[in-house]
Amino acid sequence: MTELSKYKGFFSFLIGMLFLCLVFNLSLGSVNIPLWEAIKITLGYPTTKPTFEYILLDYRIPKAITAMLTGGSLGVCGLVMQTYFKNPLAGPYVLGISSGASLGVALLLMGSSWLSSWFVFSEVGLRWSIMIAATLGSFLVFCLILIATARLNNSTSLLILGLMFGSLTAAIVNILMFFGSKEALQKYVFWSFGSLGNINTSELKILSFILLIGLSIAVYSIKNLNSLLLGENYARSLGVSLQKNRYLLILSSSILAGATTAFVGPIGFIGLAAPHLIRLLISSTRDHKIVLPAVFLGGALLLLICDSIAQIPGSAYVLPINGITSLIGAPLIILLILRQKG
Amino acid sequence: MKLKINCNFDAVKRINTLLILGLLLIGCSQTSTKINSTNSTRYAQGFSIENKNDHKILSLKNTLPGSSKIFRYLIISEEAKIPSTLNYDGIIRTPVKRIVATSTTHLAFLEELNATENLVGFPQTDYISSVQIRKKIDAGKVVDVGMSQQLNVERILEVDPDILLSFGVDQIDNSLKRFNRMGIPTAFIGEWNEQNPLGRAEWIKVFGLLLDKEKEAFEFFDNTEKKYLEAKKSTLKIKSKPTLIAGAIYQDAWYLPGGNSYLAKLFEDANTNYLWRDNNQTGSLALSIEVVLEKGKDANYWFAPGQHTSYSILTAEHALYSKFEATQKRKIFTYARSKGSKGGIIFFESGACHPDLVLKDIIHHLYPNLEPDYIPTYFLPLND
Amino acid sequence: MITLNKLTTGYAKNGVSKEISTELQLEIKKGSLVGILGRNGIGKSTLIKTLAGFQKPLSGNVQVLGKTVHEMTPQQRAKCLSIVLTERKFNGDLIGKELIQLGRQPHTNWRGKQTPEDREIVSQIIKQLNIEQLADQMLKTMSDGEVQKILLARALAQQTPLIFLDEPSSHLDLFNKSLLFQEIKQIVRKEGKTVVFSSHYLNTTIQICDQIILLLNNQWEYGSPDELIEKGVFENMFPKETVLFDPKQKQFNICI
Repeated sequence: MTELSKYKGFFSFLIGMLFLCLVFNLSLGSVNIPLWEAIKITLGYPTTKPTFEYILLDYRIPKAITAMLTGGSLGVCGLVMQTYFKNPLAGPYVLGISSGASLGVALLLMGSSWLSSWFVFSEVGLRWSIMIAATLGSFLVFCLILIATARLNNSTSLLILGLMFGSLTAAIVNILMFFGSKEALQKYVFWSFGSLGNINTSELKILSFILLIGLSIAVYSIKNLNSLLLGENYARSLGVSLQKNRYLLILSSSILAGATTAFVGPIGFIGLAAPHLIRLLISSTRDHKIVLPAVFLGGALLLLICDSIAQIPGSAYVLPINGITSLIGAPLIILLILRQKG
Repeated sequence: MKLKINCNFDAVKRINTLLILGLLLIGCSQTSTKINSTNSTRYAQGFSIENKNDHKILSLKNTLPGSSKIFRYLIISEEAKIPSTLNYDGIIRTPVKRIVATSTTHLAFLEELNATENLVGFPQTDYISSVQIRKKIDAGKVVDVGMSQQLNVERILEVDPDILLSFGVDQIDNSLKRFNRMGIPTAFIGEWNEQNPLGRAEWIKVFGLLLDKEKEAFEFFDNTEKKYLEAKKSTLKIKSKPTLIAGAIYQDAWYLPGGNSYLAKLFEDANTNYLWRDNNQTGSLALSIEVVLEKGKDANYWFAPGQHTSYSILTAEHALYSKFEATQKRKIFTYARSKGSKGGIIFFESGACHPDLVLKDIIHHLYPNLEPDYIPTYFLPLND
Repeated sequence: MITLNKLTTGYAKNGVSKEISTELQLEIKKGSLVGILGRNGIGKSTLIKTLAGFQKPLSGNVQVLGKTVHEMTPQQRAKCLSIVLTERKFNGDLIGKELIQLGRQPHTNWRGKQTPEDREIVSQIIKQLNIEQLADQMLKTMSDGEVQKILLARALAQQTPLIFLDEPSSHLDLFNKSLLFQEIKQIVRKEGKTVVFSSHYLNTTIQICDQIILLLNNQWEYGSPDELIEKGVFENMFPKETVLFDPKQKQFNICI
């Protein structure tokens, strides 16, 4: 539809902003690392203080990359859901995938006897146990959605079904929380805050690979997503195989939402807000060829900024990422929309 | 169901509420921060025992943070008459024969006083490590009374205890009233609220009082105190203090004990430099991982790394763990490896009762040459 | 061009079927303008949707250029026929030109890349329908008539030999309606496309169409307007107290 090159300026701006925020994110943290030291370390030169090296290379850089990948993937996932369901309130968790992950983690931490989960932990570690539980939970909901899709004919029914699965799993989690021990409850709640800094480099590679698959499917579906702008009937008349397309979009969304939830926990708001943000910034096109990559960059930028804020630079304390995303994001969107009306 | 309580309890309380409030207000200055410890406590701040002619008064401080309420219990023998002058939050006839406890720490105290036979009910018995009590559980003699936050009232009534040992916190007034109405006095055992290790052990005196075994309890505590102080003294000859870190990462923060906490006090008494001893918190701190790395990277020792039991899992959990000197030099010690048959951690059960052993464990790992043949009970080195 | 073979349209659910139109058998020639008429609820929309491949027939089939519509893949159908539906709820942010460009989707590669030829086709159509000023506007700023033109432009951009329109003029005033039907007539005459539309505007349809499919209760008629007038089909459509058909004027009048 529209030429990518026409939007070169906009993309340069986004990429430039992303780079700038990355520099800020890496140089700001609880421990004060001087900027020139940070640059030296990233370029591979040895430094005086090995602590700086450890913090930067083993903590801040993986965290920043995680933030960008997660933010971008959630943004794209949200965009796909918003276009497919023709609903601006849809987000990456609308199919209930993240709720499934929460159920898995809740079962691990609070459902089974506290002590048998100790056993799991002592064999593979708590973090991996949580990741596996979250993955299994998302996969369960994913299968349910697939089965439902085979029987459904339209997108609205699927949306309602996804929301219902989400409610159901949330209800079960509530019951589990009621019976959980104090420690287990606290662990669960803390998991639900999300955590970007818990991934090491090799895990990051795995996450990147998985997200790449999900993103590739979304990119492959760009043409169909454009056709879907007019709704399913017109899309079909333009040559879209609705059922095949539905499966592809569900697959892509489940991979993106499921993998991010499994590795970093549920991160709210970004998936919902990034598409709106981009749409407010570029109102001259709705072509997904432009909007999708822009939303990826926008989501990456948003989450990176939120992470920088959550670190409370200079302080020894940190804030949970989930609290920050809505705190910063919602006023931003409100501001932009109010400007728009004028 | 036997009613051991004066049925007029509630009515009398209503009439005398204002009087009591007035008395409490007057006595507030004395009792606001801690119970007057002249009577029988040397370290514990959560209880005090007053000896009267034919009865005793046990005062227990409310464990709710910021509260200055004190619960007073009349401790009186089976046959004696209840003096009707004052109100009590509970009347306990000694010796108590049927006990429902709610924390494994209570069981350790019972075991020391040879009173495990008196245990009739406990919530979620899997947590219990004590071999003796496990035998009782297997014989079906200990009733599972639900969950510690949500005790099953019917089960408790069925078991018909003489006393319910709660650990308090939020639902204090509710459960007190509820079980009192049913004739079961509830005592809030707040040993966990003591930051001084000897203060925690001193709560055995409360158990001694309830079981009519005060002499044994006092003897046990004096002995424990002696051994603790001896152990503490033995470290004074060490010239250079080793540095120490504690805690572990969960999600995005490192949780470690505050400078005024129970563990911090143990580290202090072991003559170490716990790197956060200057902090004045009694609870746990949630700090940025970067800060802990910067300050504690070169610490000599690392105690209580959360639930970790092996170096392989520890280093896999977070990239920064392996950067600590304590990890590289294999100087990490945990309480998570000593478990009961069903997985309950022994430190959480009998650690409070044996601060001398806890301290000696720590000292042994810090300075193995002091007593090469010592076998630690609670703290063990991490597995590979 | 289009052949209806014993086509029965309707709905089937849980083994229970409801027939709407029964056993239609007719042929539509290439390059003709065909109107589907009938009272409200008689099944005009159902017929259009069945012909365009949106709904499965209860029995019989529809063949376009020798191929059965319902056996085609969506891609094959997209090169064969295009549609304009009655749906009006779109994302108001859509830009006119982008919407029209969507008509080229069946002809672009997997990435949806628009070649210069695609762009040229779209420009031509915009000029043809006189909607240059709408090209850069958002849908939410357009009137119903303008949106309808954009949708028609999109269908034209798809460059299919066959175009189906479901109630294309229902939201338009007389002027816009007339403009629209003028355009449609031009498209049929000049480009030789076959256009089939449903409408409840009897007079206009009789006036402009080459052929009419008339749906009645349990019956159907097919022929040119003159043929149908001679047959006297229109006279019996409505109760004579309410609506009367004037064969000379070729229009329906209200009885006042």
